[in-house]
Amino acid sequence: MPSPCSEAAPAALTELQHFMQQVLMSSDNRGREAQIARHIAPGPRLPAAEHLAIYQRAYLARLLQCMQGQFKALNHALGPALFRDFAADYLREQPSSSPTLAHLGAGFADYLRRNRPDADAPEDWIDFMIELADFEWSLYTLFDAPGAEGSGYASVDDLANPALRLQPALLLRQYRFPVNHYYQQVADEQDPDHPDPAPVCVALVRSHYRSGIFSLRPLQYELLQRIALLQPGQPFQLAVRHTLDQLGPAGHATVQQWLLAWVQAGFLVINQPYTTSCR
Amino acid sequence: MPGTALPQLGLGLRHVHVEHILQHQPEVDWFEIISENFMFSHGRPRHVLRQVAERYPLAMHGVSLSIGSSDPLDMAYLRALKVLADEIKPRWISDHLCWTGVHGHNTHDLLPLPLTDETLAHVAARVRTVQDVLQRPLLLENPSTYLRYAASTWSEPAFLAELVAQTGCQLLFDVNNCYVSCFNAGQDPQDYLATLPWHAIAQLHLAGHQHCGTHIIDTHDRPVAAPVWELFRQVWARSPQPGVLLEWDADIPDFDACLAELHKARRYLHEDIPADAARPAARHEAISTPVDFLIAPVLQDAATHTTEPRHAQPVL
Ligand SMILES: [Fe+2]
Repeated sequence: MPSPCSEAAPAALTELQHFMQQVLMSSDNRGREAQIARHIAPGPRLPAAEHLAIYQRAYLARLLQCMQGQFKALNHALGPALFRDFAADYLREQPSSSPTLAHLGAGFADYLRRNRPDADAPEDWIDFMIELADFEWSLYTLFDAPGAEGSGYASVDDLANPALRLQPALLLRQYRFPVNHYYQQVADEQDPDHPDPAPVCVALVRSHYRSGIFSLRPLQYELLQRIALLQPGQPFQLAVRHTLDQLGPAGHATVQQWLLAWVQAGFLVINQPYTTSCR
Repeated sequence: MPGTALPQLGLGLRHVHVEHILQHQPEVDWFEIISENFMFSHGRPRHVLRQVAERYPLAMHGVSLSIGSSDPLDMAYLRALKVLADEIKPRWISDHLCWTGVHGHNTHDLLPLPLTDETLAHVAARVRTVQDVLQRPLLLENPSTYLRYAASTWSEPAFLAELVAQTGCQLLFDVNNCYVSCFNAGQDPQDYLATLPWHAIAQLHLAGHQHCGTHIIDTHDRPVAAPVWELFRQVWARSPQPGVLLEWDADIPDFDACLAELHKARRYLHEDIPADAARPAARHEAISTPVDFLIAPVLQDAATHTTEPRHAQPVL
């Protein structure tokens, strides 16, 4: 493997790119008129600042369009104008640092959490927006996350296997608002109202390259959480035991039904419990 | 002899067309992918790409190499690019003569470089590194530009010619970008062509643009403009039979409409087709270098599978 270029970039290039990136990301030329005149040549039909403005206008517009694509339900809930205000502030605080746009919205839910406009007197609808952002981003990342498509899923014959585990492309989430229902309604091109609080537990699962949203009972959610927390080498049955105790005499049949459904939906895989990653 | 054969016509592979392509296997000579859409993919995009690669030759076209940035080259990015290349064995690997960001940021725009001796040495050294990693020549594309730096001392084609001479890289010559950049700088495209290193052109791009009167925006959202077809005719006649690719990245029509636009390339070369009437200047500026087509259509995807496990009984 050749070594990367270690020579420093030319000073003039470094300075120019620093300047250009600043004016692109801030879109504010005040106090920079002299620098613009020094760096950018006037064109045949437009002054230098107008040439620069073409880049400035496109920078944010382009990225906002992408975020609207990544948060379609949140864009619907907030309305495009307000969504763009929040997203523009987020992009100013956390410009992209990834070669791929697929990571663009990664910090958005956290950003909203930290910068909620109702910090003094929390309002329900803001909580809903934050939860919807988290839900939507979870689903978005799941689409292209490492999964079990290559290694294969557990089958109904594996239900007694102690190495049964959750597959990698599975996320468990709890929300105070029914964000999954809201999301589904937007996907179905309806125009839902902001919902009232109503706690939900969901599993987001990608199997065979298709993503699914599964509503869970609280006990189902707890059981899946316990499975997720199993250490390598611990038997699968350890996670199930607690749920069986809670369910009482009918518990065994119920849990078997759940597991059967989850296997059929691609929730579970057989882990190689004693192999450790060396990377 | 340049320009006598039929061009190999390719299309940019887009999410909205993938199902159609896999189902109908249309006759297209090759597809070009946006590398960053697949380099980091562990889901359906990469899976689908493998299927497309079984049926069609591919080219990898990147937008984040940032060959002219004053930041160090991103070696992790380069390694991921090489892994993807080893997997799908593309005909070409290309990116742009540009920079995309500094201080670790990515503007996701293809920003112009000051064309100076210093920049040339900087970019040439980095092209060599990239080619060492990829173990093949890199193709560099002339970007659409909307400004010129006061510091530039080279013309773009002369800069590219020197880069080719120093590094052995090849060119992806975007005919539309040439037209757009020349108009925006008040330069005659014929002067641009006069210095172009023709022998190094391995691929051509065609795309639509938006004329705003005082400037042209490279929008990739409409058919190729008549003067670009004219320029294409000239470029093809002087090039060593490069692959010809149509880019359509915003307001993407159905696959057959894209294909019909691509097939115009053959007709423009071999039949005498009058140029379309010039379109009026646009009132609202569209977005240059649109990128939202890179965002996976997840909403529709997940919505098709919303159900709780069918046999699960409510227990509490
Ligand atoms: Fe291009």
